[in-house]
Amino acid sequence: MSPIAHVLRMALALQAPSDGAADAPPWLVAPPIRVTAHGLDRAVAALVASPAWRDLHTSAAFVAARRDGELRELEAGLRFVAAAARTDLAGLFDLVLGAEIDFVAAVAGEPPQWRLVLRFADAARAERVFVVLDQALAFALRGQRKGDVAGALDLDVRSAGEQEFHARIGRVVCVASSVAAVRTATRDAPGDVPGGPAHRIAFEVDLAALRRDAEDADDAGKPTRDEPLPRLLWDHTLAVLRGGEILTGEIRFAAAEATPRIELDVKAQGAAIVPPEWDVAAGDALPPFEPGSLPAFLAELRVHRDFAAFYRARDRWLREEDENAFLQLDGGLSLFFGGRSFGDEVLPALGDAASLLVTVDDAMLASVSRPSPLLPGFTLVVPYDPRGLDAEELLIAFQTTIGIVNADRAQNGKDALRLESLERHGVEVAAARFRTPRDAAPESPLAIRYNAEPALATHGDVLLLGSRSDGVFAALDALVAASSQHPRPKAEPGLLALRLEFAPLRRLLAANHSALVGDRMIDHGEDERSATRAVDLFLAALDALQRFDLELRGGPDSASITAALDLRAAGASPGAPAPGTTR
Amino acid sequence: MKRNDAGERPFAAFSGVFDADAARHLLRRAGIGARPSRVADLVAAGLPSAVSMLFEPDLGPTGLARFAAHRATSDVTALAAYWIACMLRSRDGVHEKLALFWHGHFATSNDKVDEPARMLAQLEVFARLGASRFAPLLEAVAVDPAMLILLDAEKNRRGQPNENFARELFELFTLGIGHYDERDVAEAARAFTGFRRAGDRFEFVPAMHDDGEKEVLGHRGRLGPAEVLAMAARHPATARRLARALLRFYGDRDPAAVDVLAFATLLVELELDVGEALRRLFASTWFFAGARRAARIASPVEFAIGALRSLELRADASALVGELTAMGQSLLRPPTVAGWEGEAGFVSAGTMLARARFASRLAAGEDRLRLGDLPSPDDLDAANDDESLVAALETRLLAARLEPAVREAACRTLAGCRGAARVAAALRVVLSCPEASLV
Repeated sequence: MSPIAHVLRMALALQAPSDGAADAPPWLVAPPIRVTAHGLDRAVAALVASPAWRDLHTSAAFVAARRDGELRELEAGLRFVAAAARTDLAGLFDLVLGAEIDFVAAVAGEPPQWRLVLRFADAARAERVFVVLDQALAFALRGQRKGDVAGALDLDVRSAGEQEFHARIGRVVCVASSVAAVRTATRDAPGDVPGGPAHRIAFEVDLAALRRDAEDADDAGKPTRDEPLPRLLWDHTLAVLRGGEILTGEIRFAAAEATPRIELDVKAQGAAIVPPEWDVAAGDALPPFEPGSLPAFLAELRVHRDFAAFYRARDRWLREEDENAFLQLDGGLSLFFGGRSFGDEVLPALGDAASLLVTVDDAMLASVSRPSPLLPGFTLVVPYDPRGLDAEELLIAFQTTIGIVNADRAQNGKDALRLESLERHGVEVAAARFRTPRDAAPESPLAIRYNAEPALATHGDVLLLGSRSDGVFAALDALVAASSQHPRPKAEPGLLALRLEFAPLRRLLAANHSALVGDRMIDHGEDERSATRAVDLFLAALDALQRFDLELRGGPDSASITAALDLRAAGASPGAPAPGTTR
Repeated sequence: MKRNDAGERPFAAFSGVFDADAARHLLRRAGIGARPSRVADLVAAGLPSAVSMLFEPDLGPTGLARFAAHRATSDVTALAAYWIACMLRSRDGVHEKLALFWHGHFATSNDKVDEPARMLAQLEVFARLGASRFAPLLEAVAVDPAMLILLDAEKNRRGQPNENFARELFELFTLGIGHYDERDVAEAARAFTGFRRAGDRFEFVPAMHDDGEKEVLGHRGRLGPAEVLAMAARHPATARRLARALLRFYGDRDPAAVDVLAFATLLVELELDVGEALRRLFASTWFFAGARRAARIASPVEFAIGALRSLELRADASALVGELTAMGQSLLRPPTVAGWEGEAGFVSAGTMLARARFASRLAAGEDRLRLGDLPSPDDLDAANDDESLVAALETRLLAARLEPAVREAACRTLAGCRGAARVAAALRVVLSCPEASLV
């Protein structure tokens, strides 16, 4: 694959062919994936001037460090080209991204067909970019560049490999997979590049064609990851988008603001996109509490879904080999609820929403006798129907679980959890705690805050289950505070929403610095210096980021993802807690 | 020093040519694999200095421990991976290999201990004391929590002695069968009473100790743990048993009795300073004799980790844990209290297939068994022809040379291969040969 096509495909993460698009160039037999970009030079210039730039750059270096081959070469290539153009990296972006960019590709067939057109405001800039491009391709191909194309004397077409030809005419530079494509593009280009608002990249993908051309129908329809949880969270979620006919999207940059922001909107259109178990007709079933007010709030994942229907449709998201284990789990779960079927009786009594709250905890692994890493704490907030599942049943299930855990721990000679009844805002909180002395001096080895001391409470028709009682207390505080305020209208439920605050995440990871270094030394075979550098770069990259929001919505004939990444605000110090947020 | 049947002093200093072949032999036997840069360094330094260089302080298990503690102390697979990472990262693997020797000698399995933190602590004992005198090491192991758990120290109480530790002390750690009797075991067991678990530690409680009069190995008195350990360590049979184990691990799959006796004598002269004895061994005529070259069957660690080190490749250490297990060496889980049998004990149809599969997967770069590219023919100092490439890999990886017919067959498998695929094909075939399992 040609270097430019390879880089572009990596960036777009788009694979496989498509057929048919109304405005595709005639030479492109099976188009297209189309990407247009405008005004990126202004966005990039503002970004470079922002405080987050240095950290983002180190982030790129970190990514390059993680990938042994391609990205490391890309970074080296960028530096080479920047040197050739006698500018720095930011200047290079300014130079190249000053163009209106139009990329069209059909990935089908051999050789793959594609075309990149850069239209500049003036011919001098186009000439400079052309020279830089020539240098870049020479670098990428390590001397295999062939030079001028014989027989193309009417146009200065250069060849940079079997499938890479580039030329300049006036203020247009074109790179394409064939001489014919270059000729067509340079002839048509002055009027061929669609206009658009500044600071944006727009793209369009024919998903139906991608599916048709997928080699293995099972691969297209069924999640492919090995681990069940990533499959569930990632592949199954993205299936909502993959189910569409046409995918359109736009990336916008708002780098000039005090808090630079990158927004992504992706919309898939077509019939029957959303699977039945996703179709949540009711309003937001979660109480309107404020997760950002929790101490050391790190993240919240909200899911709206018909859990019982999702459970019944498990053959769509489970691999065959996992299904037997799942059935055993189902049987086991029924034991905790007095023999009631978990799938048919317990789950329907739970609401069609759940919120998983993550905070930075300072607890330790229960099974580790040495200092262990700082861990996050988790609290699950789930509405439930007291008519189908009363609080007493939930408490018994919790106590049964702790009893079984204790039996196993006792068999292995380990400390048991003891059940305690605590109270907060008049709500009873059932908590399981280890028997270590609670009054141990801070420096005592016994003064360990264990990360797995689960707690359960019910507040109205909401169930709270946490990895520690602290988290349940904090969630109760937020619920009570919300209920004392004027009732807010319940929001239109998205299928999934994620908020992630980077400052606490960075604090969590920084506290585990040596552990992260050790992981890299073991898993990547790195020496201590190299592993430390990689971890430091990663943490520096997190300094550039402030908050990430993602929301997935779906309806009968469309689904969309909106995402926003806030970079560190001007003047904000790295690692500082993010300001409070309101959802 | 004793002379052998031929009237030679087998452990006298080697006076032959210390060339690259000899340096590779030294590195593969004393350490794990032979990195080309180190081969050149050792040859330039000459044999006496080279041996000293091998024992210079290095990464050692404790080097990674402070980073890896969180995983290594909670997950035995992670601990094994951490140890493998040390083997891969260390300069020559000398300290790690010596720790592996002691791990086999004082074979402790996490299957019984079930506390990776304890296993890590035991590895640290081996790293700290493994290259010093035997007596302090034995004393440290005798109070090592993993060993106390393994051999049921808590069940060894005054009035109800448990003989497990005392029996293994005499049978496996020191004298060997035939040099003690059941009465010695029973009496020694009484001497080791009094250990009690206190949270994360074991403590010696005098009130729980049987301090009555005992008779062990012909010595009578109110013997405690220290006295029994000292008697066992200085017993002549212990030196012979250690000598044979060290010669077999580092030198020869079946060392001659006279050589064992000579090395035992040397050990006694050195007050069982194992580190110093190994320095003498690695600089000796016996060690570099032709009969010692490619004379052992490589353990899975020597085979797999050695190949990665010799090719200067990085790998995901976690991925190697299962590979070593498939080859018959599950680190931190030795098969019995006697450790790994070694040599032919590592050879079976299944384990040899596992070695071939490893060769194939390493060449293909599957499952993170290697990270990064294979060396190019230029890196291997190979010319453009297939025979030169195979020969270069032989030099890097094998202690023995391939038969001409085998080499020809190997070259034929490269037909049609180009670039990196050609190196991969050559690596796969060279590392799959039986000669690759000799060291």
